[in-house]
Amino acid sequence: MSGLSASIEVARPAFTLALDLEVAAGTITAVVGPNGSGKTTTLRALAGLVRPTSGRILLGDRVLDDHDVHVPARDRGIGVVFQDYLLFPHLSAVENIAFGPIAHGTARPAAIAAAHDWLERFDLAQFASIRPRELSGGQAQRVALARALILEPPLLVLDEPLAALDASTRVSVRAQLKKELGGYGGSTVLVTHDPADALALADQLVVLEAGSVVQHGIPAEVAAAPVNNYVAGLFEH
Amino acid sequence: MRASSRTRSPDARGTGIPRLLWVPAGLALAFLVLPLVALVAQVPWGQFGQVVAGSDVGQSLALSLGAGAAATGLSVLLGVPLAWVLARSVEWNPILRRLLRAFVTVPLVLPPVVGGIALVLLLGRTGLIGTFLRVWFGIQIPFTTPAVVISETFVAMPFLVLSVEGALRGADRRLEDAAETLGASRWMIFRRITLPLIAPGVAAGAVLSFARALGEFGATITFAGDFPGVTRTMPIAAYIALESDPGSAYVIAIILLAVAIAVLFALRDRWVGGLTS
Repeated sequence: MSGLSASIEVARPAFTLALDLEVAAGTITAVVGPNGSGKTTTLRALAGLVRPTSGRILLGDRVLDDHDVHVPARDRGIGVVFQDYLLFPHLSAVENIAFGPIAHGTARPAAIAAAHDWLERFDLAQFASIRPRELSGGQAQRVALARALILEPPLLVLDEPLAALDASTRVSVRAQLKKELGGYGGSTVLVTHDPADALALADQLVVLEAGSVVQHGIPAEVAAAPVNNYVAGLFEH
Repeated sequence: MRASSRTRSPDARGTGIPRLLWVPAGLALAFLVLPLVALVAQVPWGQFGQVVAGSDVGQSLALSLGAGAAATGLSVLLGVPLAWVLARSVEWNPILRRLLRAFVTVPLVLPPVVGGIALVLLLGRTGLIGTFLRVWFGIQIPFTTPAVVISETFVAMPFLVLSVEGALRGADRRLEDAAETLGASRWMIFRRITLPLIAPGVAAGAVLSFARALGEFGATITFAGDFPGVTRTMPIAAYIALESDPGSAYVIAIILLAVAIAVLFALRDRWVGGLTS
């Protein structure tokens, strides 16, 4: 089977994060929860930046983590869109996007050409030589997305992709993100504290509280039958 | 902090400085400025070109610039990796860390002559390492130009290390995570991400190191001695010339002053205001 199949346990000082994720290719799962519930740890574990204390992460038939296996982040080939996007400030937009292919040994001219294609696809062609600090939040987010997707990762993880935006642009950027993710064939895990983002973007919802899954399912079901006050509160707005 | 203090308007309370303090404050400023005024006033400007072109001063100027550049290069080459270790040693044993930091900082506060004596005892004819260099390889370091470079590096490198360490602490490590998820090796992350991010700190540290190396006197005269054309750097030349040919001593002094001002100017944003930006 293609897609992500993960069972992650990470011991933290305050709690132990424990969750299972099954994300089919072409679908989006949102991990929702309050700050400190273990969302970012989940993402870092998937990305290989944190090694799970125990558990198993499978991507297709490839084992990324198991008792005796840990594929480091640089060899995982997972696309990550970080909170605040973390574009390289000293590189132009096109150089940011070309970074991954160059790291994988693609010759610089070919990598830059491929990066230009992605800029065009995301309506960013005129920003190719612009430094990240001159991009708007929405533009920076698309550059970050292009930087991750250019490597054609089988799994894409996004950490609060809309949190850095102000309210006025959020809705339009969210719509654009939905469109762009629609053209992506891999599994997507989206981490967010905002249920509105999760409802708008995700096929599946996982609600995390203090490191544990309190509810999961398709968004409409979860909204219709919240298991506790926290989950109910998520859908009140 | 710098920007806010610059733009803040004087508040209604005034400066709040007691009148009595104006006198010592003025004296202190005069104490710092007047010697430089005296120097500038007494330089034989008419002979300036002649003195600089003269073989003695020209020779020490060339030696000083060359040795200073070499010491700066050595400081960067060795100091950046050391700064790296220092900045990333957060998870180490705190005692080990403090010790490491102390070793780096000692040359900053150590009288340079002591540094010179220590270098003699390490690399001198009968020194800890010097003995072996002499017996096994026939190499003698004291009283050579390399000895000048070593003395200058000893006193200058801490500036580079501390400046680069500050820059490394300020750099966002999450950018390294981002690069790693894109498949970059550690070396590529160092070359393409971290190094460019800390480049201003490296530049500031290099300028400071160069300034410190150029002014080095105590360690150099102790370890390298005073040999015209070989170890007689500008500060030593100025000191020697003061008895025989004061005019050229003044000229050398004014050149060193000009370099110091140029350094301050180059660092006006980076060092004087802190390395946070």
